[in-house]
Amino acid sequence: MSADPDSAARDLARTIAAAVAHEPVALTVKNLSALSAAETAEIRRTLESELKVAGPPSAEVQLTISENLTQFLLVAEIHRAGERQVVLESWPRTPAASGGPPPDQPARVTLEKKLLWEQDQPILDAAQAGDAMLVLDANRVLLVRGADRQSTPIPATHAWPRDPRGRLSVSDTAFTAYLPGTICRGSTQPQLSLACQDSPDPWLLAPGAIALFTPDRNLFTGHIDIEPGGVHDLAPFYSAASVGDAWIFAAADGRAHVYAHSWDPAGGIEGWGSDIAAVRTPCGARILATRPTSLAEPDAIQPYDLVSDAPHAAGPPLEFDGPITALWSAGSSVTAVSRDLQTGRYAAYSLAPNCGY
Amino acid sequence: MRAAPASLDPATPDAAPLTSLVFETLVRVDEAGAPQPCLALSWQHDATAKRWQFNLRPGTKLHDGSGLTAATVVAALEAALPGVTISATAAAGNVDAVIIRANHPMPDLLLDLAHNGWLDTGPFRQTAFEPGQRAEFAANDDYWGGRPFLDAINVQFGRGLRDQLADLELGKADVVEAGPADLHRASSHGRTIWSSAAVSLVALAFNPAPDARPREALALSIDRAAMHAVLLQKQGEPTAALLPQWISGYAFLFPTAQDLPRARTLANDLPPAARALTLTYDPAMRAARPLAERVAVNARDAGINVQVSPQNPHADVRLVEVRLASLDPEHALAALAAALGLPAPAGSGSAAALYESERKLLEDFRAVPLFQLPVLYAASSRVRVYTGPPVTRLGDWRFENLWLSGTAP
Repeated sequence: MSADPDSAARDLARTIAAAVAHEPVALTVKNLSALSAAETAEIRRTLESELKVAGPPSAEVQLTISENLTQFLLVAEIHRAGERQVVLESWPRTPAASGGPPPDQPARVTLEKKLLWEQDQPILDAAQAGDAMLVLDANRVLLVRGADRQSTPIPATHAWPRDPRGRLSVSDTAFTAYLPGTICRGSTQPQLSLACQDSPDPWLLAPGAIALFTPDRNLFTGHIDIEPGGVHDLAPFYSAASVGDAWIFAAADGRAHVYAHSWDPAGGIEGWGSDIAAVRTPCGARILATRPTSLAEPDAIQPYDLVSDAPHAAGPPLEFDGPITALWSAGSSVTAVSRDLQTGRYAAYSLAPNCGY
Repeated sequence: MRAAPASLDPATPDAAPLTSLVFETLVRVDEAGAPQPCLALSWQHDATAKRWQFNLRPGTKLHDGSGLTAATVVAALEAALPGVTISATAAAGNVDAVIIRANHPMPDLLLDLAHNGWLDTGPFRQTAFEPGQRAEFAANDDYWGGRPFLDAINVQFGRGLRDQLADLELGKADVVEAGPADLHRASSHGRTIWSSAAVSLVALAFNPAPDARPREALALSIDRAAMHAVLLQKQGEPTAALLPQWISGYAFLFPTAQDLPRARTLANDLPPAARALTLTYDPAMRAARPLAERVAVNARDAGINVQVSPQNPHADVRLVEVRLASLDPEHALAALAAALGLPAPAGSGSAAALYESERKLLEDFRAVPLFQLPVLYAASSRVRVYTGPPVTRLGDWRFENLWLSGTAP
């Protein structure tokens, strides 16, 4: 097996040249594989440069570019003097099939989606709390434990923004629900209990990081307090993620802003949506980002690495049938909420990362 | 299902689709053919692909409630992977890991592992099994991927395709196997069709006889294109190769076109006794009778008289359907050769060597491949799929993602 398409084409050309006694050939190329037209043309150019294609041909060579699960194949059928000879060369499709990833190559992260809950009202967040699950919407906190359902209303002391957001933070049986201008504290034991109050207090952004939320809007003010790092005033943002010693903020200007450990701006990222979240995976922390779609379009969530402050896709996107309306980190998983464009119902999913090469 | 497996042993070919309900492997293969984590959460290998390390998914439980350990995996793999050294170790973070070593490169090891070394960690537990009759499965509450939506699955064995379709139409079954000719009927009334890749080889298998000319004449007389369009409703693909194109990448090299003049020439040179053959088939096989009868019609056009009779143990030729047993081309070819009564192929190691092995297996026409067919299922309108395909490329069931409308997911 050759290492790459160029070596495979050169190896194949040498075999063909020997089979036709280095005489001119007529070459035709057919592509049955997923290789692009440009890659196909490059293979053809390599073969033509190695074979004699000028002058009256002594043989016809039909080259087919093909593939199987692990390899791309160059299959040449040589027709000469009424005889047919077949020669093949191949190269691996993926590093995992042969040769393997170099030691410093990051693992590929795939996301597994598991439905947590589905309902008509917009779900703001959902989280596991011991043997139970909590579901937060703008009107209530719902506890699901097996077949048992308990819910407690959230008192409406002020009008919510048109697009309210909310977040759950769970610690054993105690939990905190953050809503715009309201913070509720409760417990899942012995029964679901909840006490809410209007509060300008910051939301928990991540362990050791808090941020002020604009009470009548759907974004953070930009005022953050991060341990270590201290207090910073940044541009208003929708969501944030911390990977390594860098922080990324999906800002109201449509870009994601990267800050290195010194809190100096380290660049901007185009092409991400307003929801991003960090996730801890067996192969290190990754950022999950939505696409910059509207609420009337299907969305997707894709894992990214941050390499030299620039994003690199770390795995395939996980497609959803509707827009993502919430994305919150839950440590080693992420909670995503999507609205079904057909039914209008909201579904909360737990996204678990898997690593492979 | 048509098959009537005597056990749920993953080594039993008949049990193939059921196996994936209960058993899992270190690695699985996604729809694009790429290996994905299953019981192994990650893996790495050295530059020569002779040493591989698989880090196990923490917290995984076997159906008996015990935790998945490297020792358990080693025991399961030792029987499945002869000729390699398998050992248990601990990776970073005290994660259980398995090391697989060999003296030769193992570039296709991930494909091997996708169908070897089965362990009962799957989304459903077996709760009842009557050999050849029926099986029952219940949701595995401890499944590492989360409890399946379905509470239980009941499977009835030995049901013909017509009976299965009737069961679906009468609401007695939610998922049934479907034949190519029944797809239109099976997909009506909001029902959906699920399909695997082309994984089932339909072929003629000849009894050993020294003279290859009758076999070659019959092979050249067959009009696969017409059978494919009419009898198989264009499901699957005509083939003259043992391995499907998506597994080998070179199946197109084996010509499928009918060559009636050459067939007639060969037949004319035969003594009269050699121009008469008997062809048999298993009536439970999909489209078996019309395919067999069409082979006889084609053969007659070439001057060969083929008598068709079902379940005839003394027939010269058998029409058979053999399902792909592995995603690894070399293992898959060996399994197909064994099922068709062909000699064991030579070891390969490269695409060119594999092609040469397959060409040699077919050169004396002891087996004549006809079609590669997908495995087809029809599902009632109340069966819903949350994520991922409910049937894998190889036709295995991924029913943990199914739920029934009218029930809470």
